[in-house]
Formats: sequence, C-alpha cells, structure tokens
Amino acid sequence: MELVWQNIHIGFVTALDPSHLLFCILGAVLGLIVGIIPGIGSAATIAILLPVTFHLSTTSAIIMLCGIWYGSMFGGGITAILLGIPGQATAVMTIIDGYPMARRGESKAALVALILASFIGGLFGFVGLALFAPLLADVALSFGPPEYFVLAGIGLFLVSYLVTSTITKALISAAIGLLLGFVGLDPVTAESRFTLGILSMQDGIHLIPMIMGLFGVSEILRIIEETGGIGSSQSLALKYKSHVSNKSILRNIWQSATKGSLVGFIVGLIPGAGATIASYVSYALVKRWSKKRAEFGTGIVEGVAAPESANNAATASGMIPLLILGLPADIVPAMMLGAFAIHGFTPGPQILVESPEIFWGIVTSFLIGNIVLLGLLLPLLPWFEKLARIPSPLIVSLLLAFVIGGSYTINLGPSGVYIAFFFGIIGYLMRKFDYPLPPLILAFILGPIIEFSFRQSIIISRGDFAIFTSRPITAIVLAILTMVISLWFISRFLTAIQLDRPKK
Amino acid sequence: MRKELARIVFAISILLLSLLILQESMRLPIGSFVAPGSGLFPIIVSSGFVILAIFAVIGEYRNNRAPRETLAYGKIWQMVLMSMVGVSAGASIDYFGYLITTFLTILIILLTVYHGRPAFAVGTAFGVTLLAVITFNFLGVGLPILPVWMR
Repeated sequence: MELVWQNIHIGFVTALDPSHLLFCILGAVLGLIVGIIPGIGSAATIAILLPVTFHLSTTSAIIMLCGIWYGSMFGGGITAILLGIPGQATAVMTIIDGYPMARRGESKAALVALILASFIGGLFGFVGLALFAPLLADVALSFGPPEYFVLAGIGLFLVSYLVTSTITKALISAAIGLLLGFVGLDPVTAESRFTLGILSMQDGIHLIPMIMGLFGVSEILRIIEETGGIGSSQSLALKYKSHVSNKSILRNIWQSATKGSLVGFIVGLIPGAGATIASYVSYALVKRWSKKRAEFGTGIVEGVAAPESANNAATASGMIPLLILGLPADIVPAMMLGAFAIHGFTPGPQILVESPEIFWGIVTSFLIGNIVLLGLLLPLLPWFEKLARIPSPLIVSLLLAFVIGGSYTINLGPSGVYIAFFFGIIGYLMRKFDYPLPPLILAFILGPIIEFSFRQSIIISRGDFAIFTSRPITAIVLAILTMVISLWFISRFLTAIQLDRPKK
Repeated sequence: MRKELARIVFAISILLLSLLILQESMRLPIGSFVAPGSGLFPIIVSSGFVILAIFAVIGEYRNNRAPRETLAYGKIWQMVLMSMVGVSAGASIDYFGYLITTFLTILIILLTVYHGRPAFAVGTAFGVTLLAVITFNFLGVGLPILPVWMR
C-alpha cells in the first residue's frame, strides 16, 4: 500500500507540473466543449488533434487526450439533458431520465446529478486504475507472443462483435484495417507488400492522416449532408429550480452512482465494450437493483447518475489494457496508441518500472481533470447550453481548418492532406452503408502486433498450433471466446426459429 | 440512386476489391508453418475478406427484396465539391500558405454548400482561420503559414 502512495505521489508531482497541468485542463475543457456540441465526437476531435501532440511531451500529449476523452463524457450528458440530443453516443442513456427532468423544469437538478455522478465515476476510475493496473502489470510480465496474439485477436473480434448489429460488415471493416496494416515492408523478411511499386508506400500508410480522414473528414461530409444547423430547431425554455440543494442531490444519487461506477469500470475493461456499452449495462443493472425501479424512465436523478458515472469510470478502466498490455480496447485508446507511437514510446508492463512518471502522471491526471471539471461546471452550467446551439457551418469550418493544418504536419506535406481526404471519402461511404469504422482503425493498429506475435509463436513452437491452447491464459481467453461465439450462434438460431414459427 | 441499389453496388465493389487483394497476396511467399513467409497472414486475411464480402453481397441482395424505401441520397455534388476543394487545398498549401489556403477553402464551402451570406462567410472563414493559426502557433506546429513570396 505504501508503494501505491509513493507512486501516487510521483503521479501528483508529474501531473501538477505546470506544463502537464495546462494540457490536462486544456484537454478537459476542450473535451467538455466538443462533448456539448452534438456532431463532433471525442474520436473525431482526438483524430484531428493527434498531429498537434507531436510537439508535446509524451506525458502532456496523453494527459491532454485523456482530458478530451473524459471531458467529452461530462459534456455529452449536458446536451442529452438540455436538448434531448446525445452530444456523444455514451450519453444516449442519459436522455431517458435527464430530458424528462429538463422538460419538467428540473434541469438544474439533472445537471448537478450528472456532474456529481460523473465525478464519482472519475474518482472510482482513478482508484481502480491505481490499484488494478499494477496487479495486471505483474501478470503481464509473463506474457509471451501467444498471449499477445490471442489477446489482440480477441480484442479485435469483440470490437467487431459489439460495435454493430451486422457482424459481417464489422469483420469486413476489420479485414480492411488488417490489410491496410500490411502495406509496406514485412517486419521479418523486409519484403514489399501491397506497395503497388510506389517507393513511398514502403513506409506503410501513415496512421494520423488516415484517422483524420476516416473520422474528421467523414464527419465534415456527414454534417454537410444533414440539412439545417445543428440543434437549430430545438427551443427548450430552461427553468432552474433552486430549492433542491446539491447536497440532497448527492444523497439521492450516491448509491446509483457508486453501483454505476463499479459496473462501468468492469465493462470498460472488456475489449471493445467501451464507455457506451458500459452506460447501457449500468443503467439496466442499476435500474434492476433499485427500489425505485418503476420510476426509472420518468425522470429521476438516479437514472441520470447510473449511466454518467459508468461512462466516466469506463474511460479510466479502458486505459488499463492500453497502458499495461499495449493493446487498445477501444477506438480512443487506439488513437492514443498512435500518439504514443508518434513519440517513439511503446506502452506495456514495463511502463511501471521504466517510466513510472508517465504512467502515474496519466493516472493522477484523471483525478485532477475530474476535479477541474467539477469546479468549472457547477458555476458555469447555464452558459454551456449555448454551446450546444453552435451552427453547423461554424463546426464544419473549424473541423476543416484543423484537418488541413493537422494532416499537413508530421513531415507529410500535401500528401498528408490527400491521404486525409481520400480516407475521408472512404470513411463517409463506409458509415453511409453501415460498415463501422472502429474495427478498421483497431485492426490497422493491432494488425502488426497480431501478425508478428503469430509468426513468433509459430516459430517458437516449430509449427505446432497447440501453443495457443496449451498455455493457461490463452486457454482461458480462447474458452471465453468460444463461449461468446457459441452463444451468438445459439441466439441467432433461436431467433430464426421464433421468426419462422407461424403466429397464432 | 436508390439506397438499396447503392448498397448492393458498394458491396459488389468491396467484393471486387477483396478479390484483387487476394490475387495480390498470392504473389507473396507463403513459406511454411515452421517458418511463415510474408504472404501467409495476408493470404489468410484476404481469403476471409473474400468470404465476408460474398456474405455482404448476399445480405444486401436479400435486404433488397424487402419492401422498398425511398431515401433522399442528394447533395452528392456537395460532397464531390468538398473533396475537390480539400484536395486543391493540399495542392496549394505549399505555395499560398496555410492562411490563404484555409481562408479560401472555408469561404468556398460556406458560400457554395451552405449558401451563406458573403459577409457571414468572410467573417467566419477569417475568424476560424485566425483561431487555427493561433492554436497551431501556440502548440509549435510547423506549418507554412504565409505564402511563398512572403516567407
């Protein structure tokens, strides 16, 4: 325990360093703003800002990106409550109880519940991250290529499985991502693969302009396609009832927020589940466990607290696989892995020994960022409603300016801009035809890890595939995967039987 | 183009792409299971990709037999224009610099796609470009801000 306190002390010293603190606050506020504005997701924002992090230190860069991530969780809920539009996908469940409260004129109570619950979720996430990550690091030190192959493979499969209802399309996205990851020189034999004879392709496709295109440019195209300004048709007269004190709201929500945080933290650890699914599961479970279960959905603070605490806790736990195993479990951590790569830093179990200031600085920044957001949001709440009504031409202009500038940097020049716009069109079409983008990016990042560890494992075992089933960790993970796939097939089979059965 | 037809065309395009990639993968050395070559993994993935693409085409075709819906696809020209503007921005940034290129790009988009009032479009384009320049400068991002004759 003493070691944990020592490490947290290191974390505070790092995170409170003025330059890190500045980027922590900057990221949190930026995330808050993009979370409030419907249409720009945290993924698109991080994609656009990735090149900017090139000029920061590794710790500052990741602290800022984390700030954007959890800041957007706070912000997404504000729009969900005030306008009934989720600022982020993670805030969809917040609408169920938050929006009816706002319609009744209890928006202040709903917003305070959101802020307090998000803070509790963030606090829970910080504690979980600080306690759980070192334990996993000890286990991860014994991981070899077979474990990395199986974990990365299962992570990719689960993202494809959970992210959409059409698994075929999700797997196609993943296959495209894997194949794009093969472009360039083979890491073992240095042979050219899929380079089309172009010399510059031997370095492979650069991640940053690709991400900026797939998320940033396709977002611009989507916004442009939608007619009218975002949120322009909404006109909700806000009434702030002041007779409910923050203390009494806290008394009402602490139980559901704690339960929501616990569920969110656990779900966030599952590769591919992410903050959105964490908020869904949390809302459902907290409702089931609550004495007020009949009132859920009518507009109660507990219904706001459960998903909001969960999505914030899930952001912290989502960092654990990335920092300790070097395997991103979701799209935002995948982008952060890109930021690590920009700085030539490889996360993994050694991070706690070799770069404790980076690890603990990031962990502590979660707490500091959440405190900053708590202190900022409570007094400034009425002002944030205006942000949700920013017209779409302004959003498109901002995105465009940052895409052009961002994709040009990292020594790519104009070709970076071309790559971004090329992948922007591809991304737009894929979204249009329901091919999800997260599996593509995750596969692109995990592809080389999967291939390299697969080949290493096969070479070690002299071609014996039993290496993937004979080791305890891989055996357990593969058993879980087999169970998930079997359950999926059984549920599909049962649904098909029910549909075929004639109605009486 | 009707939405369901466009979906089928897109799925068929993906199938063709997967076949091309499989053909390209076949050219790489597979090696053996004891010493896998650079082509082993690409062949496994691209074979899977072909199978998935076939399933996707079948899936879209089966959906096509469901009651048809009309969906306004529209505004494709806006997207084409946006993409062309973006590409020309990439081509001109080295010569005209980020400031002018971005200002003009945003201005064109606001005037054509959004049919904005000229004063609003100029003001927004100028303000946003300035904000971006300040942000990039503050973070030390190396961009050719000014045109080549002013550097």
